[in-house]
Order: sequence, then C-alpha cells, then structure tokens
Amino acid sequence: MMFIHAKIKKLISAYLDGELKEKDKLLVENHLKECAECKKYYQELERVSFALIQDKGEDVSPDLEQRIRNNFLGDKYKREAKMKNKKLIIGISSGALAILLMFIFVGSMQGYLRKNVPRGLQFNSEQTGGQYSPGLTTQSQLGYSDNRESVSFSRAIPQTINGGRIGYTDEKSPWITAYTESAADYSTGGYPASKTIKIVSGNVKTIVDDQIITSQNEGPIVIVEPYLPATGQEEKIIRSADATIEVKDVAKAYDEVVKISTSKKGYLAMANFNQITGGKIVAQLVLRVPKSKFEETVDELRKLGEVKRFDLEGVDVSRQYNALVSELNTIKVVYDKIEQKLKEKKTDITGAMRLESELTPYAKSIEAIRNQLNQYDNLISLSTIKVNLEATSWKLLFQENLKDVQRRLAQILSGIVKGLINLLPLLLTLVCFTVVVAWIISIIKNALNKKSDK
Amino acid sequence: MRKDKEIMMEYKSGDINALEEIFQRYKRPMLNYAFKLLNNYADAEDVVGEVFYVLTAQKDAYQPQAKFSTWLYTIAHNLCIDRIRKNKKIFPLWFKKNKTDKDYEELDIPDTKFLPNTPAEEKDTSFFVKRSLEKLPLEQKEAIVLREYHGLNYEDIGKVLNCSLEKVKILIFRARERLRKELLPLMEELK
Repeated sequence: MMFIHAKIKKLISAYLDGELKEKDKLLVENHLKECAECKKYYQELERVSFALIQDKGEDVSPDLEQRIRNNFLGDKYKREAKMKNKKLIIGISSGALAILLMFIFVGSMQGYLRKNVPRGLQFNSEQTGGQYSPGLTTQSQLGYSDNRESVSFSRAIPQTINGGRIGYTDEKSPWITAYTESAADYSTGGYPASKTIKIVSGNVKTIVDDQIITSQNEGPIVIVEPYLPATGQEEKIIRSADATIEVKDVAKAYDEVVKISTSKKGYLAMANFNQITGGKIVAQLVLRVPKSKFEETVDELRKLGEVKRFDLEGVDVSRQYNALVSELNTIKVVYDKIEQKLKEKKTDITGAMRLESELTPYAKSIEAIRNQLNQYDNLISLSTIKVNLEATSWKLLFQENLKDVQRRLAQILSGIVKGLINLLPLLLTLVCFTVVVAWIISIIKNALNKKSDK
Repeated sequence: MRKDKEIMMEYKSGDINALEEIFQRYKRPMLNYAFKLLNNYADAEDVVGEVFYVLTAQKDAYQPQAKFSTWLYTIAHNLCIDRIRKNKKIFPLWFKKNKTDKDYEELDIPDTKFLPNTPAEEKDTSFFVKRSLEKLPLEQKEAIVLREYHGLNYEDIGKVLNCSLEKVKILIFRARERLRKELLPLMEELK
C-alpha cells in the first residue's frame, strides 16, 4: 500500500497538468476516490498552483516598452554582435597564421637539412703497402655519422708525399686547412710533393704557402683526397669505387648510368635489380671505364642523386707488377737459352723430346705470368665502379629529418624555459598587476553599462 | 486570433507590421518570464530587448514546423542563462552597514520593488509565493514558471530546457513538493 501511495503521489503532479497517459490517469482517478490521504495531497497541490497563478506579473509600461524597443531596434546589440564576429574572425585568423608559421618553420628546417648533402662524413685513412709506396695505397671511406656536429677521423692522412692532415669543419669554423709536406726526406723514392689536391666534392684547390683554404660555407665537411701526380714510370694503380646513391627513380638512374659509361668509352659489366623489404627497388651496377675517365665518371655519378656512400680505392700494384715483369724476363731468358740450345743441337727425336719437356715448365710459367700481367693490365686500364642505386625512402628521410627537427625544437624549448625561469619574478609581478587592473576596469565598465542602459 | 506561426511567416516575408504584432503579444510574457528567472528588473528589461533583437536577427532560422512560442521561450531561456552566468562573474560591491560601522559587510542588492514595504504586504500571500519561488533551484523554477505562468505543456517545456519529458515531470513534481512544504504552513497561518 505504501508503495502505491508513493507511486500515485509522483503521478498526481502530472495528473494535475493533464499530462498523464490514459492508463495512468485512470489509475490515479480510481485511487483518489478511495484514498483520503492522496486526495488531500492532490488538493494541497491545487492550492499551491492557485496561489502561484495569482501573481499576474507586471504590465509593460509605455516607458518600459519604449526602452525595450530602443534596445532591440537600436545599435546596442548590433555593435555587440559585430564585436563578437570580429573577435571570432581575429581568433580564426590568428590560429591560421600560427599554423602557417609552424609549417614554414618546419619546411625551412627540412630545406636546411637537405642542403647538407655531405652530412657527418667520416674519414678513415690507412696506409697499406710497404716502404715502396708511401701514401699510395690509401683507402678513403665516406660514411655517415649521426652526429653532424663533429666528425671523427681514425687517423690523419699519413705525413707522406701528397698526404697531409685533414681538418674538419663545423658551424663555428667553416674553413679547413690542409698541409702538404715535402717528400724530400723520404728516402725510398716515390712521388714529389704535390702542388694540388683534389677535393672529393669536386673542387680542385691550389696550395698556397703550404696551406689550402676552402671558402666559407663551402660545406660543413670537406674531404681531401691525395692527388697522385705523374711519375717517371707509368702508374700501375687499380682504381675502383663503390657507391650507394639514393635516387628518385631507379630505372631512370640506371639509364643515366649506362649513358655515362658509354660516353666514357666504357661499358656496363653487370646490372642486378632487386625489390627489398618495404617494396623498395635497389639496383646493383658495375661499370668499367678507362682509367683516365675515372674521376670524371665519379663526378657525374654523384649528380644522380643523394650520395649515401662513396668509397674510392686506389691500389698501387706497381711492385707486384714489376716483380712479375722481372720474373717473366728472367724466365724468358732461361727459356730462350734452352730453345737456342735445342735449335743448335742436332739430336735425335728422343733427345729433342727431352729438351722440349725441359722447356715446358718454363713455357707454362711464362704463360701464367703473362696471364697475371694481362689481368693487371685489364684492371689498371679499366677502372671498376660499383654503383648501388636505391629508391628514395621518403619515410626514412622524413624520420631522419624529424629527429633533427625534434632535437632542434628541444634545444629551442629548453632555451625558452631557461629564459622564462630567469624572467619569472618579473612575469609574476606583471601578471598580478594585469589581473588587478582588469578587475578594476571590469567593475567600472559594468557600473557604467548599467548606468547608461537605465 | 491569428496564429503565431502565420504572423511570423508574414514577418519573414518582410511585413514589418507583423513584428509589431508579435512584440505586442509577447512583450509581457517575456518580461515576466525573464524577471522570474533573474529576479532583477534591469536585467529582465535587457533580456527582453535581446530576445526581440535575436528574433529580428535570426528570423530566417525559424522553421514553420516548430511552435513559435517554444522557439521564443528557448531564446529567452538561453539569454537568461547567459545573463545569470555573466552576473556570477561580477564581484559584489562592498557596502558599509552604516556610517559608524568600521566593519564592512557584503550586501546583495535585490530589486526593492518586491520586498514588503508595509506590514500589510508582509501578510500578502504573493510575497511569500515569490520568495518561495526564488528559493527553488534554477531548473525547477524554470519548469514550474513555464508550466504555471506561461501554460506550456511538458513537451514544450522539455524543448525549451533541452531535457527529456521524464525530467520535466520530475522537475515540476519536486518544485511543487518544495513549494507545498514552504507555502502551506504560511497559508494556514495567514488564514
């Protein structure tokens, strides 16, 4: 019973307003006939309702009516509406400008990063070869360093002919100096001191007063490669290169490589195309070009795209070559002598065959040495250049650039934070002052508004 | 009497006289509604002016499918809520109780028009009704005012207050409960 009372009480208010569904309306009506308590409750609500509606409210006096008309027909709300629109326009424009500035900033950072093609190059220099070939068998390896601020060198170029020290540049010291040293004290022979050095980036510089100075902003890193001058003997150097270049279109780059090799009177010895993980196309090409065209070819290949790696090698095989020549000459002398004896001696067939068999090992040795010399000649006369072409990985580029952008942003932010910490006392004072002034202004403004409206 | 919808459509078509008709019809209900919510004549006047301004500025937004009165009360409701929020941000002024007092006391300044000025008024039921109404929570007050003073049905009240039918029933039920508890003892006493 209590439950029904509670339910009916909740329905009585809506019943009073005629807002019940037919079913609930009947329920309430029937209950009210039987329950005195609920009926009393209903009557009380009726009295409250009656009391409420006795208040008819205010009439709108002519003055009041005029004031209202002035308000909505006048400029007051139009000005406020215009002001609101203005604020909205200013807010949206400021937001759009801020986004645009952010894009410009990120874009310019990308442009700056991409310009620095020789990024963080490392230089390793090792001297191989013996006393005979000072600084001749040098191996340059160009690789990337994640830290572009400093570049490490395993060792400076040996202080030999044509060699010198390599410095490296960073943003603070854009110049590089390299020195050459005279080989006058080098007793085992070799090459006279070079007066020119070739910079791998393509510029040839002249030494002045034993110093070579690059131009400012020539690039953060300059690699110096010893330039080997001509000597009294013909050079026996096997030149080779191994490059990895990132290109936009591997197929087009392949065509370019073929054109380059043909124009240099060389040929394409090998070409392989592969698709690696991620759908990236890579091509491995091997070119053979005349030794005199080696450097030109290298320069042209660099222009195909972004050079990831370019290893240049010059192996001086003069010693081995000359040793073979000497050996060949020696064996030939012996062979000739035996052959001469064979021709002079009139022997029977058995004797002739015996002599012939004595010649055979010499002949074989001569053949073998000639083959080796031919091989050397082939490798020397035609330089071998391996080129790995990779399609540009935009994701990788983006990721690399993003790391650098993030690093720079972090630097900027930490600078800002430090600045803010230093300025904190002043800022707090300014904020408090602003708040107090704003509060005073709002009070005055509201008071004036109310006065003018009335 | 012509229907609100018809007059409004005439106004939308460009008949300025239709606006006048609407204004005459609704100026008092709007004023009383705003005053019941805001308890301040100055604010109520402002809100009424704003209601008709919004009506003129957004007349094209009115759809004939919707009930005109509901639409207008919704505008008034929103403007009143904005006004209440704005008033809450204003710092109260500090007043001296009298000239000799050294201590300052914060005073809220109600509209003196509805304070009992005479002992006779103190015995008037309407004074207590207004006071009891003022004590109700805003949502309950709005619901009961729209129902008792402006005759809106529950569905329309729900549209104005942007709530469900069930919630409207509960709001009105609770408002009446509170008013019953407040007013009945006083009404018995006055008898």
